[in-house]
Amino acid sequence: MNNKFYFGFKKMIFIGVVMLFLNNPGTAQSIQERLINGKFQLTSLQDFFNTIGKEQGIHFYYRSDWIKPYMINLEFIDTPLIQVLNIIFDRKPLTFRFFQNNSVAVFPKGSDGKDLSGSDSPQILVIGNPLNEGRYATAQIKGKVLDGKSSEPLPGVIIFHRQTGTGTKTNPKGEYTLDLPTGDHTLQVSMMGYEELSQQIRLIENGSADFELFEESHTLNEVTITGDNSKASKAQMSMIKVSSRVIKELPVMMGEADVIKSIVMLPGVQSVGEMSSGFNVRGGNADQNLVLIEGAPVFNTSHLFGFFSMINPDAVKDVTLFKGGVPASYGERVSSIMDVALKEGNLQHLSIYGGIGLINSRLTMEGPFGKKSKSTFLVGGRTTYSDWMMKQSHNALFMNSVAHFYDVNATANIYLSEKSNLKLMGYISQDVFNLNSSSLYTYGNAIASANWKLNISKSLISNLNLSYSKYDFRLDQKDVSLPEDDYRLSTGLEYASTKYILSWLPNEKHRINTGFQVIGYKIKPGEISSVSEPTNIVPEKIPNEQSIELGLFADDDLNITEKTAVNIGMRYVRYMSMGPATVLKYDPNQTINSGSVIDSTVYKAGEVAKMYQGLEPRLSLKFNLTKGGSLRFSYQRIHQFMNQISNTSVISPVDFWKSSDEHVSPLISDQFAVGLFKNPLKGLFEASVEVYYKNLQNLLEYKNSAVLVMNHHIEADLIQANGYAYGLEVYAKKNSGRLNGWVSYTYSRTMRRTDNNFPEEVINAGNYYPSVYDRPHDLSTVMNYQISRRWRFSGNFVFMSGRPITLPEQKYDLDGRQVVYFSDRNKYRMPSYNRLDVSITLDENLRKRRMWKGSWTFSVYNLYGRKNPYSVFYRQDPSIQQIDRSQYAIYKLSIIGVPVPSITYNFKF
Amino acid sequence: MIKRLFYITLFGLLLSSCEEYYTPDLKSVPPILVVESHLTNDPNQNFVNLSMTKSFYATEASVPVVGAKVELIQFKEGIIKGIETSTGNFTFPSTPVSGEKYQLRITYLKDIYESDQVVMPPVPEIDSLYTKNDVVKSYRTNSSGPPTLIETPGRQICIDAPLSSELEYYRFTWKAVLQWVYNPPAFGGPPPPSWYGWKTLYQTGQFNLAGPKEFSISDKVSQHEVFWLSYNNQIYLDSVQQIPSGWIVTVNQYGITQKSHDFYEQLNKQFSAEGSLFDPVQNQIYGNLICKTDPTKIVLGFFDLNSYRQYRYYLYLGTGPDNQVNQHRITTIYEIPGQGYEIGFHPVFWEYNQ
Repeated sequence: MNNKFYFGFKKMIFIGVVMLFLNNPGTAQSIQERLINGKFQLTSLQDFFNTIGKEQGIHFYYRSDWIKPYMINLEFIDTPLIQVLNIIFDRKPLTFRFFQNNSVAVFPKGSDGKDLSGSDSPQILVIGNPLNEGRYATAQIKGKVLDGKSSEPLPGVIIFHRQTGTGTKTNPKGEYTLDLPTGDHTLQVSMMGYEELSQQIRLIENGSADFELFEESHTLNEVTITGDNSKASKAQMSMIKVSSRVIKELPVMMGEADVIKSIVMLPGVQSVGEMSSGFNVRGGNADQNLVLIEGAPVFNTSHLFGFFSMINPDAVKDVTLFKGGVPASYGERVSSIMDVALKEGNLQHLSIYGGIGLINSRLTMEGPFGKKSKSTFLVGGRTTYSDWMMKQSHNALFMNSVAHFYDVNATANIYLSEKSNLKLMGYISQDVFNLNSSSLYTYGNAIASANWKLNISKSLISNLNLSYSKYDFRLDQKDVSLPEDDYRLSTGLEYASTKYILSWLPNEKHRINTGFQVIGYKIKPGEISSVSEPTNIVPEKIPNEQSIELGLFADDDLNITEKTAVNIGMRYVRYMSMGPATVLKYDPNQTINSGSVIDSTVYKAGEVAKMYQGLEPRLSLKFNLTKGGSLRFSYQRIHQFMNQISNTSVISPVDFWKSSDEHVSPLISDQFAVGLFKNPLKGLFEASVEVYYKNLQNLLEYKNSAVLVMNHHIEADLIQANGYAYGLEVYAKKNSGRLNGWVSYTYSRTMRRTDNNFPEEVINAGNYYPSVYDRPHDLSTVMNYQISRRWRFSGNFVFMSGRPITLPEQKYDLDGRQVVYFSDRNKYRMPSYNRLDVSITLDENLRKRRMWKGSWTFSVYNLYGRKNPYSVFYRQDPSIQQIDRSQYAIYKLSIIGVPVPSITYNFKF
Repeated sequence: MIKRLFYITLFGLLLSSCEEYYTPDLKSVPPILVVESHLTNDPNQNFVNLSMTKSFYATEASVPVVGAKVELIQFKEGIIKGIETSTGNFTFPSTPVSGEKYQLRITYLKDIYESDQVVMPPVPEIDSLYTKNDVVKSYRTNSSGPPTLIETPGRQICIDAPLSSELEYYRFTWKAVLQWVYNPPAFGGPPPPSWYGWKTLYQTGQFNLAGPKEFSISDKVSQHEVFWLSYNNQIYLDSVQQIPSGWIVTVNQYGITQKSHDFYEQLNKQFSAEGSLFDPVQNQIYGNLICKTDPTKIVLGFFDLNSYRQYRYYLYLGTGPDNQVNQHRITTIYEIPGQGYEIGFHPVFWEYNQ
């Protein structure tokens, strides 16, 4: 007798015994109605049965290997046993039967000959005490919807009762409330990215029912974009929330999921080109976006020249982007706030997951600190083998280049008490690259934050955030012929902030936030040092800039009437540029340059060299319309005291930061927005139309031939400009179903103007000109189609107007060479950009309890191989150089000019 | 299979970036006056050419500048009037003097254009001219297989030059004349006379500029690379029967002002744009001239006042790094045509490998 037969035989005997018992009819119904009480936290099913068995005198019959994998984390208060068992066995491959009024048999579904499908379809869930059946006409169900794997609450889940057409949606805590007639019903619980649950219930009286949704391979894709968020007001608009699942499921180049590249598929968000990791919101510069990871800002968001963003998608819980209607608790940057929340860590068990891609690989581990610990951790990291890849390439440029990076992120979610929680986060990264040159570029971020949340009482919540961020850039310049001339240029920035928010919630319809924020900046604009001995290099340093920004804020979020909600807030900002500093005074009748200095003032350490202050009103209004949907309005003013100094269209690691001072006034933005929002078909669809207008003061532009690096008086090469931006954003999304996704279209303009007295400080004769981010038409569509239970197809299509460019309009000869004279700034436009990406995913095995789960994604970026222009430039034409050395031509560079296939393997266990 | 897919993907991406000609529709705009001035202490390099810009795609000549008046204002001596030798081309009867201040004034179509006041730099001097072994690396790519590294040994022609507060910046131009000998075969009779020929290589591409290195305190320009020559001289000639016979190298050294250096550096930046990821936003290149009568009117070009010295050397590089380089200075300066040959006798400028 072989082992397989032996175990099969044993199983049959056991089931036969169980069947024997089951065929013996019960004598009473009391066993089902016995009331169970107790809190069972991380308790194995076996322990649970033993406990209940002892307390209630009930015998549970089962094979231990069937129930061994299961733990429960539930609390019961006078809950009938039948309901308890329904909850426990819901969505599990086991079922149960009562017999002899004191026994329960537990066995695999299908073993009793009555449910042979082997499916996970749940049994009827009894809500209420069966003794009270028929006593009530209607009843209310309350409960939570949780992620079946992580037990984390799921916001935005739709619970729909098809018979009556009523439904509801879970709040940010995953909670819901639903009123229904008593009796038998079928509830459909659905959320994109999760397996839809069709749950039969028997509603007897008011009660609770928690549901678990499983992130299964055969599920639909989740697209969680919602206007409802705990950080957002009831009247919030211009806010986008994207879950990590959406980020991972969009087809992307080389199969590498990317937070920022996902965000640009949404209305009002654009990027400059393929290899740019920065993003532009409503026509703003990339440095006008405040990217926060757990409250700490990131000053360089890119890896590998912009190939990836620096945020590991495996560690991301969700991303919230405020394009407008920014709450008063936020400030610092005028275009947008991108708040990245990292996962807290799995409370239930240790899990490890990661992915192997063509350029990089990643690994993340999360779990509780101990067996019964309520504190969790998550540690993840990424590294690349791009150096090795480049050496294998057929391209001389790549063969002689270096490019690699790593990043490590960690979070610890520490349970202090029922009312108090501490979340710690740390992140470090480093990039090294050199593009076939003797210049080696190195840069890195070091970020840390601590968030302490304390529920002082039911209506008073305290939130303290401490954050620190450091960005360092280094250029090692080698001189092959003369090592004595080797030097190192280093720049950097340090940021430290303390932010405190006290929230008072007198009732469900009213919330008041008050708080303060203190930020310290220290900028190292540039330092030159020698790297060889002997050396010809004289050490040189641009004095550090240090400054302090204070913010005091308060907002009141309330429902004025049933149909009207308002959020009114105010932020007071005070900025101080601090000594030690030497501030030059320039002749007001001349343009600022080294020749127009008339005086200087020296400030000691701790002295205020320049102070700016201002009020930032914030207002959001929401009117619910009688025919469904809402009309919303928002206004905001924000000051920005930090600017990235860059005269390239794409953010580069070389770009450094400059704080406001005597000569550089803060950037001020005023934005108005109006929007119409609807969720037709009970939330199956979402649709919105938003119109905005933005006025910008004190934008930074650069004089002709500006010298930016190691410039002791950078103000002499800067010009301050004003501008405006306006746009229309249309968005429609289908939330669920086999076919789901969204379409967004944006029409926008963003214009600038220099209004200065001196010709050197005027661009385009003082007329308005389009900003480099002015791309009037922007269409993005994202589509997901569930082909079968394991196969999923995704596609996205992007169309954008070309970026404004400056082209050579005229030519002339100088010393035998052809020189060009360029057009007015941004007078022309590149050809339009369009691209189709597709991917097909073979999802992981459907068996939920399988330890190792892997999925394959095959994707093609730029399916029809369009040569989208990245840049247009003027250069000597090598093909005719020999004939006539003066000939030059205009070229168009496409970074990705062919379809790029890729394959990625993701795993978890 | 997976490995193959991996390589296909990898190479697909790395080779996918591409450049192509782009011919956008450009709007027609009025032409702009261009001033090309080259004023040195050498009477043969002492001129101002006026021209007009033409549209980028234009193939015809630009509109001539007719009726212009050019004057060189010398602050001590007065005004030197330009002599129009052909339409828009002016020369001057005297050359600028080192240490003196000059200004260029142009009158054209009722407008007056003036340059900055520029001090003539002192005449430059090379500390030394020498060669050093240098292997130039390049890659040859065919349709299949990886690029092949091509290493071409040769010598870099370098100079050292002093830096002083009066003269910190230089511009170099060069030409290299390769001498060759051809011995025709004798068909039974006496050997026919040898052919003594020459072929000239000229500087192309960017302007060769030198000055203090960034952040360096060195008081001289060291190992400044002017140009490079291969040991294998045959690659410059048309036939293997032409036997190389050494180089006559001419290096023109110009002492220039910092503004002139910055101007040429801007031109170099324009010539070397690659459309790379972090290319700066395009800048207009303006010189040191303005229209006094209408400041909104643009004038292009540069009033370039340079001191000048020419050096001529004979170089015999040998066939590899182990050979001794034979080098001597040539003091008698002959005009050498671009290319040619003499049969039976050496040209007058011929130099011998002594």
